[in-house]
Amino acid sequence: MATYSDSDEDDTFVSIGTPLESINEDEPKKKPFSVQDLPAKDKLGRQRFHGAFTGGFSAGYFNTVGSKEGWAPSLFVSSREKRSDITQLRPEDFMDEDDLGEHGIAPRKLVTADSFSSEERKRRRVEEATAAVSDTIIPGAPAIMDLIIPEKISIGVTLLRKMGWKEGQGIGPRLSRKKLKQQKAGMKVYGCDLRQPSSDDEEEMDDEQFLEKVTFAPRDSIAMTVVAKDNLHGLGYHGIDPRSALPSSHINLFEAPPVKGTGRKGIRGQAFGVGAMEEDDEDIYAVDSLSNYDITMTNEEENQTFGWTAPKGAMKGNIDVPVGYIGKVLQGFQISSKPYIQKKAFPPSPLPAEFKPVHAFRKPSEYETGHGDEEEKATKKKDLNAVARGIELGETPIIGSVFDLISKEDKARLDTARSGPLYTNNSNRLVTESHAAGQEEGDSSKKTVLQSSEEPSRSNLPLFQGHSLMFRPFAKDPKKQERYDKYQTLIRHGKRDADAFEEIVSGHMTEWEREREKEEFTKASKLYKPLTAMMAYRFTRGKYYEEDDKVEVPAEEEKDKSDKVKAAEMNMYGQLTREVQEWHPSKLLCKRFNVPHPYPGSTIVGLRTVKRDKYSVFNFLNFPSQEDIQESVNSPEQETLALPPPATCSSDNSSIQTPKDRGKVPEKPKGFKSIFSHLTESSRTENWSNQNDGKEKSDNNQSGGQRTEGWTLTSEAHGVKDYSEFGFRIENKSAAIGISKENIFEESEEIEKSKSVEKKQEGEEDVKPPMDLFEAIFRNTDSEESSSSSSDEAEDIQKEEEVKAELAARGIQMDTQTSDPSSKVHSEIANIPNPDRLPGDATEIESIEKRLSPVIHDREMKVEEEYGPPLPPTNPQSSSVSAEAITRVHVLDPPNFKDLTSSHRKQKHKHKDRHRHKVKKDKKEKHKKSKHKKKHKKKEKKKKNKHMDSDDEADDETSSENSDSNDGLSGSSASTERELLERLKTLQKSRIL
Amino acid sequence: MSQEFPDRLVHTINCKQGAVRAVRFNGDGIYCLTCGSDKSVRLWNPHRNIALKTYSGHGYEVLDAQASCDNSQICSGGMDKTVVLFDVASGKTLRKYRGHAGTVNCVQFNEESTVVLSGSIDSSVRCWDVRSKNMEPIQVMDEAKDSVTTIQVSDHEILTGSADGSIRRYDLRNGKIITDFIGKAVTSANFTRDGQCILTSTLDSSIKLMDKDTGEMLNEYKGHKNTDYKIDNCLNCKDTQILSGSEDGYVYIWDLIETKVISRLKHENQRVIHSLSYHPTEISLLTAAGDKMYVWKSKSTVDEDTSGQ
Repeated sequence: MATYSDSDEDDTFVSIGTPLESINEDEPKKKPFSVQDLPAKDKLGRQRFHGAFTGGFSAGYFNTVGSKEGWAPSLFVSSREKRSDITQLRPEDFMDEDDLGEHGIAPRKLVTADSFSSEERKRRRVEEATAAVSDTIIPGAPAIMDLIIPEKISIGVTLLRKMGWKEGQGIGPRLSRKKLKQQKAGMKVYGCDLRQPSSDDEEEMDDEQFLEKVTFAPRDSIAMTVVAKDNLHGLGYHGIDPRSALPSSHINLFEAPPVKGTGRKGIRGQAFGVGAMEEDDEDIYAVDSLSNYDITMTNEEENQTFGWTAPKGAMKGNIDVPVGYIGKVLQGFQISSKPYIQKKAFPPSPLPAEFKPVHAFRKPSEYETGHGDEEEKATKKKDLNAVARGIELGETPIIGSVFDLISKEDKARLDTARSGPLYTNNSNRLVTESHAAGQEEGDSSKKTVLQSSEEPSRSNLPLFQGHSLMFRPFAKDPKKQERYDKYQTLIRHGKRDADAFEEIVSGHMTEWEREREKEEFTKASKLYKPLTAMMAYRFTRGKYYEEDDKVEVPAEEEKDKSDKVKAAEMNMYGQLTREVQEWHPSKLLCKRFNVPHPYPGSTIVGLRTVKRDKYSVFNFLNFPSQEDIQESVNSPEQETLALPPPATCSSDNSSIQTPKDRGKVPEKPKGFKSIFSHLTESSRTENWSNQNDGKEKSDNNQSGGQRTEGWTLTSEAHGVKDYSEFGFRIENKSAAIGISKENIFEESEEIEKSKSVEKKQEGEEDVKPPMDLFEAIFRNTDSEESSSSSSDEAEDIQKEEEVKAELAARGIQMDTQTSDPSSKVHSEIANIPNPDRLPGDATEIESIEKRLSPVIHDREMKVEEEYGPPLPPTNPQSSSVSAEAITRVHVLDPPNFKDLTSSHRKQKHKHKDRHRHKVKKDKKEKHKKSKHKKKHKKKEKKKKNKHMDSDDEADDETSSENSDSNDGLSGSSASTERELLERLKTLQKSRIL
Repeated sequence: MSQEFPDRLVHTINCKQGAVRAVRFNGDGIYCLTCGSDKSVRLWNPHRNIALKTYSGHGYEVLDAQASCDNSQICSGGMDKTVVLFDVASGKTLRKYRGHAGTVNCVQFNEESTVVLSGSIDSSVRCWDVRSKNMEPIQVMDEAKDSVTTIQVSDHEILTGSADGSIRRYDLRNGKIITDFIGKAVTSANFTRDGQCILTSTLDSSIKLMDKDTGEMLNEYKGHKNTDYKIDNCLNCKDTQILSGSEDGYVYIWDLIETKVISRLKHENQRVIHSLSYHPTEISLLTAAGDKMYVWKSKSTVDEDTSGQ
């Protein structure tokens, strides 16, 4: 379209086409059309579809009934004249082009005309046939009509015929004979034809000569019929030919089908499922015959040896049995030609008499001797005592009747010691005297006595003391280890944790360091506790004994019974017999009971247990790595370094302190302690003289029980010294027994103590960062203790005495395991087959227990952590009972022993009571601190001790809780029956009231 | 108030299933179950002396059985170490729970009969889910140190008595085990019908009424003999009397408050009356001794029965 612009300026320009709309940027952009938005229009541009109310799809002229010209009513047409014109109206007359269109209701398309349809043809054929038949005589025979089919020649054929084509000829130009022949051969010759003309060809050649000018029509080619694949079978599939499949005649099953070479009778072709790529099925429809089967039952002996690889000769049964061979030769076997040579059997070498089928690990001390240098060995040799030397020389050791060898006065003293309550002092004296008599290399007989008499007492000692030797967590730092060892000894002597630590702590440490070390020590000592305590905890005593040890069973039985049983016996049911534990039902059980789960988040089912795997020393002890420790433990040099002379320091202290600090001590216990520790540090290297000690000791012994507190302290130190020095030579059996018994007492107490102390420490730790506060608390506890100790001074004296006695025992034990070389001798003695050796001898037990030791730690922890129902509650009594049981075997003088124990028990009770008070106080403290704890939690985290992760904390808390309850329990159970009865009575009274 | 007690022997039924190990009323007291030493459980109408059906499926003596609350199922346990669940109508074995290492002493349904609890000589209590196809126990409670002799179930508690001399109450709602030490081997423990107390029999010829909440002993009933056998105890339908079998051929009836023996029911030619079951609402008692089951009623109940017929 060309428009001429009217404007003057644009005269010369011709614009072609429709200009694009100017883009107005201010206009809002048009939405792009989507397909569905486009209106459907027909070819005339009319809207094809409308809404339902506007007429549906288009009809008429723009949805009107009219036309472009408007609606015109049909004119009246008279039918009078034009009757014939009126035609029947067809439906199409009422349709528009849309309806007739492709998508309309009556679409028009090209179709074969009716005249050319097959129906029409058929009709025509019938017509033709009737026409043909009509003039025949046979009237109306429609049957034949069908048979007569008029020849119909297609137009193509007629055309061909007209062109001269005849049936049977091929189509195409006529060919000469030669060419025809080539075509006949049906081969195309590429290149040169190498074929030799055959004789036949030659013959034909003759014809060729005269038929040269004759041309032949080309051969009719057979039209290749390409069959369209109109089925879904696989390529090449063809169904079974029913003619071959169905047998034409009767099948006789009982006659073998005649075999005709390879040709098989049966069905050719394939059935279902065999594809082109697969092999044919094996003649599945083949006619089978019974004669193909073996129907005779014969003995199949020949096949019995199927698969045998035996030689053929043997199979046939021609076994050549040698002359004189009696016995049956197995079928398939031959008798060997070579005679069988029997190997000579040697009996195993006899075991040495002392051989033990278990491996006993050597003690560290032994280890040292094994690997130590010559000098050490020499010293060991020197230290061999008379018995050992005697054994080496082949003498029979005199062990049986010890008392025969003791001088009369000694004996008397022994007796008094056994019966008297002040046995400790007596035994002290005894030891000193005996020591004085048998200075160093004294007469051998005396020594023998001492040694042998020592044995039973040793056997009464707790099984396991040397745990510090077993596990040396701080071996890397010898000083620290030393401190730890000291701490251990103090703890074992019944000191409270804090006190013990105060004693060993060195001056140069900062508060924080001290705190940390204290905690470490507590943990370590907790983990590696004596076996006896654990064992006592684990086991209860058997109800009846063997016949041979005659003990009053009922009496024992009484003691054996726990609170519960007694309460139950007295029908005092209630708190005493009740036990409530946390229990987690399974979720499904709750669901089935229609009860909400009491612990919605819990994954536990059944009783609560504590995870133990993660709880290890290595979690919180501050040494570099495990390997280092092992190295250090293994290396003997280190070991010797780390091994402190036990109780040396304390004895040093005493030697220095006794004259000077006598007055000071009682007023300032803490100061004393610091001095004490300081002295320990400074005087470690000093040598100490025996003579001095002798004097002081005698002093102490004279002073007896009327000492002040300060005195007792010093005497305690003396006790340590004395016994550590001469510990091995204690002769008083009963005393030793008493001590050992006490040890057990103490140990069971220790557990409690350590727990309570630990608990306290936890509390302290929580408050830790502000040092002053901590100190205040710490002092508080200290002062409390001191006040309490001052208040019941008398008791304290008793306690100190006990401690002293125990120290004595400990001293012995320490000696046996650490420094004293004679321990080795002892073990030797134990190993020698000895008729007088008692069954529960210490040495042997030790070895066993050492073997057990790795297990112990683990178990011990368990004991600490979970107070599950299977364990009997901690019962110091029961432990004491078990101790008695052990001792009883060795006791020569039962009544004496009993007296001692009973007297001790009385002392114990008072002591216990006091202890319980303390526990209560501790509890209160704990409560207070727990409050603190919450406040300081964040701070604490910032500080973050490496050795305490939150898990541990949680564990500790639970354990402390447990210990709480346990304290109560053990505290209550620790008393005698009488006390219990009283308690029950009061309870009952209160109940009644 | 004169207390009525089942003093009249209405029926003596020879169960013909060997020794009758236990006799139990069903939930509404119309039927009862007897457990025989011939491996069968038998369903009776004890009031009319009719044997209704026999359930077999155990491999050895049946020691305890209970009917479910809807009377559609029966659980039973026995010396073949299995707990079997029977369909009442068809008599078919629905489930057979194997898992106990020893004789099953006692079985109980929970209140809705969705769980079967079984106590065994292997000192464990196993909870079997009846609803699921799972044949493993839902939970195993092996806190007892000795054979579990008796189980009782309340809506949220499982009470077990054990030969270790303790009764344990598993409180599902609070998630606690409350262990009350009684002293001697517990042979039978029952909740009182008000659920406040526990009645325990021990092998020292003593029955104790324990307070459930505090564990205190409220009363003790003595006079009978129980030293060797697992002898049941029970309360009457109104919690006023305490009944127990005895090893001297009597059933003892005590007054709950006064702890006096009200009466003794003589069982002719019997030595040990080991099992008894009290009707949940009427004054009617079933006892088992030897190969017989005895049905006891009071005069009034007998009259009622006759008038009803």
